[in-house]
Amino acid sequence: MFAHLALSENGFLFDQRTGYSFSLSRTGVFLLRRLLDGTPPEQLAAALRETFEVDEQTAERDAIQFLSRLKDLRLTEEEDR
Amino acid sequence: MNPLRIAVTGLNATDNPAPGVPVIRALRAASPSCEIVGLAYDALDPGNYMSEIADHVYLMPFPSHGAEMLLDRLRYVQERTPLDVLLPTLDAELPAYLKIQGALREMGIRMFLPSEEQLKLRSKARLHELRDKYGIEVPSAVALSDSSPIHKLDREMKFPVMVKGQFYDAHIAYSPMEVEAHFQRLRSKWGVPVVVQEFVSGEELDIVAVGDGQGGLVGSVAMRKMQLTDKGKAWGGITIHDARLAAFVEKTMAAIRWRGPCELEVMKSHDNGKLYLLEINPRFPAWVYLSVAAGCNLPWAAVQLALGEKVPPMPVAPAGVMFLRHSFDQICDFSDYKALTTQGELHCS
Repeated sequence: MFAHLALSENGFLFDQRTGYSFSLSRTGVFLLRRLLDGTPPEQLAAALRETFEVDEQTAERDAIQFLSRLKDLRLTEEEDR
Repeated sequence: MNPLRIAVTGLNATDNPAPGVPVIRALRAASPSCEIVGLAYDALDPGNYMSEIADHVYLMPFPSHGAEMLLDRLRYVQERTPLDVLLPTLDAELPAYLKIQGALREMGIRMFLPSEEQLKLRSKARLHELRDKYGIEVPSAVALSDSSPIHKLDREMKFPVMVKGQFYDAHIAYSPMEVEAHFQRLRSKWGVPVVVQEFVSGEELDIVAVGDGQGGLVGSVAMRKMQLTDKGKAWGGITIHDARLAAFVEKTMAAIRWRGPCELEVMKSHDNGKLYLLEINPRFPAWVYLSVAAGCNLPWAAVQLALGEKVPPMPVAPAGVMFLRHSFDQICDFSDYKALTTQGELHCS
């Protein structure tokens, strides 16, 4: 699903399908790295809480907002759409 | 053994550049020993004077002067600087070159061009036939020879629409009245038909490709424009790799059995994600040097094909190869300009 995304360590994200690039925050890099490594989207909030000092509600909100942003930017579109 | 001598047309290099200069750079990159003859339409074309571009430059008659005059001029060129291959790079000159390609072949000049029928099929007025014949998604379109059907357009098409000149220029129109204004301007500039095309909102992607004429794709490089001039021309771009787009390009090239270079303009719809073929330009685009940087020297492939050589399919171009165009003030030797304007030719020593 994310084979088209290339994420560098400094947070530079390149979408090979569209040529668009983005700068991610440290949290964004963390979340996207998890997704690229195969973490299911519904487990992102728990992953955030394991690594950052953040309460459950904030972690849930941040994960949902991040996933929603990826969708808005068409970064999660399926190949065969 | 004499070096391979290749003629390339279109040496304009302004903010709406012709493809000649980047094509020549690509040829030089593949074969530093080849000799280049530039065929220019204007003594003020900057490519005439750029270092390491053309070894010889000839001013040519405009395509509107007809094939016979073009052939006469090429006979003169051939006497002085015998050519092996000729790469036309401009849409408007292709019909004339197609007419004289037999005569050129007899003179020893080879080209690798689409057929006359392919050229007609890719015209904006007939592009929709690709959908009917081959199932390639193309926006619906109406070709107008006069303005009388314009007032009925809002019953047949959803606005906005694109209004396109038969060779160049495209404008968006939100009403039949705006279509009429664009129609009159485009008709006086490029003649008829003027094409009114369904507007597809989405991401425009551009592909440079070379077809082998048998339905095979020799190579292609896809790119998204990163910045545009006020004329909508690429002033920067980046290669992309999208498997669905690559399959679309292969399908299109196979269906029309395209022979030679072309640029496909494709729109990826924001509404449904579908890919729509907007245009097939029957020549290299001005950004073709990006193909060299991406490992697919397509202009050189065109030369090899013109020479009758087999060119194996090229590797998939990687995503993330980027170009930014720039401009600079080219200092020109005034005596070169004098030679070109008075004698119509220039030879680098």
